[in-house]
Amino acid sequence: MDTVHDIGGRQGFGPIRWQKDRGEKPFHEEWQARGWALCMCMFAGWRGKPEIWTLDWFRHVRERIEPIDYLTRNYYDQWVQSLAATLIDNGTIALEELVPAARGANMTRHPDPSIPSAGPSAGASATECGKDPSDAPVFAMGDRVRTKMSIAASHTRLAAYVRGRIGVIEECHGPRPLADASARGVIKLEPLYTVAFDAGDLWPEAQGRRERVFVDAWESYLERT
Amino acid sequence: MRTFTALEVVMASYDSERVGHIHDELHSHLPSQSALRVKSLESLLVEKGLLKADAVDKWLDSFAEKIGPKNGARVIARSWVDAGFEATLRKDGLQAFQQLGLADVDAYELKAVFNTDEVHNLVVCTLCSCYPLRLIGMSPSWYKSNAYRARAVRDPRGVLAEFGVKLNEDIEIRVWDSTSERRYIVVPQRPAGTEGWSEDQLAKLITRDSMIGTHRDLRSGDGGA
Repeated sequence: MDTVHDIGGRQGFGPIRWQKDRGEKPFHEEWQARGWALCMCMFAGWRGKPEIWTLDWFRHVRERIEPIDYLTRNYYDQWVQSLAATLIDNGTIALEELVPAARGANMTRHPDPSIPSAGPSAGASATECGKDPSDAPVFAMGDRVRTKMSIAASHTRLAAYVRGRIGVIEECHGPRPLADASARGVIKLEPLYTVAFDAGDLWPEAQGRRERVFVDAWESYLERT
Repeated sequence: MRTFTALEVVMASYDSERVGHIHDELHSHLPSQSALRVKSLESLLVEKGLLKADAVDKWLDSFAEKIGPKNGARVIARSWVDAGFEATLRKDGLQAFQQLGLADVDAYELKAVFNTDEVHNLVVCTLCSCYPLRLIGMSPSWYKSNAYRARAVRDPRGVLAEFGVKLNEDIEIRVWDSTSERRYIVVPQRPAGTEGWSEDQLAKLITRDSMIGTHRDLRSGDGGA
């Protein structure tokens, strides 16, 4: 989904304010530690239960934060809001319990019709093997590949800045759960690769620079050149 | 129809639009102060018996005690003095952590990328905030910042210069964007003048930022500051 979270290569950002983190202190304020630990405690009870939660679903829930909040609210604050949204969505808590002032507009579940097995039934049959995991991967080290241009409207890990670009397979990792499917509660194994891109093939100003960017990409993100 | 009431069966909808609406409600009705948001969610979960009152504190204590950058430093220091261990680290980063008793079996796949005189490595997650935190603790807040995520893949040399790492143009920069469940750790070069040092002495030189790639030249005189 093309929301503001997909930020790699966006221009106009100023300097990186690293000085305040010099001391390796993990959190700046106590509520940040608590908010994060709260997420970890809840996740611990959900791991391995795709009918309730997957990490990719949680990532997508964070991606759905209002763009203005995504860009301006503190990172841990976003986690807490995403946890709240996750808990409300899966029925652990009710919206009105957390925010009594909320009206709870019509919030029936409308699974994306473009996703065949989305919805509560998806989690119940947790594993879907689009491809036998023992199948040989389509690409090999050194192959030139092009990343796809179009992506689904839901969660994906194919970042905008590497779409439609030519790269080289750096490493083959074998079958791993496809993030796009995990984000809808379906564990679908697909070969994963690391793909190397020359900076000059990604950015107009980077011609001739000795820089490469490596991304992990599932097989369905890639096609032969 | 009332909709956000707690369900008998907890089950994610995997419905992107639905969580979009929930975020909209939360945006409008949650208290604006972050600490208050955390407190109200934690209190509600405790009140409903979904979280033990001391769970968050216990989790934080155990995390702080066991996990932090020093674990990564121990692994890297060992790899500097033990060629067999270095080979393990190159092949399977998680196994290297496990050999020193510093990782659970279900932590992530970890790829160690090694700096050399000709190559410098830098780690980022442009799409969210992936980081080997179960192995080396929390990432610094700049790592999760919009500016770092946007710029690291496009202007790594400029970003590094801001951190005080000035690289000649003939040094290749490899940027690793963490787009799958695999994680990356940078292995800095062992500084000159540390011949005969113990592992513990060496480990003190290795900073958190050097494991991300925003610190390059470790110096024997720094003594791990």
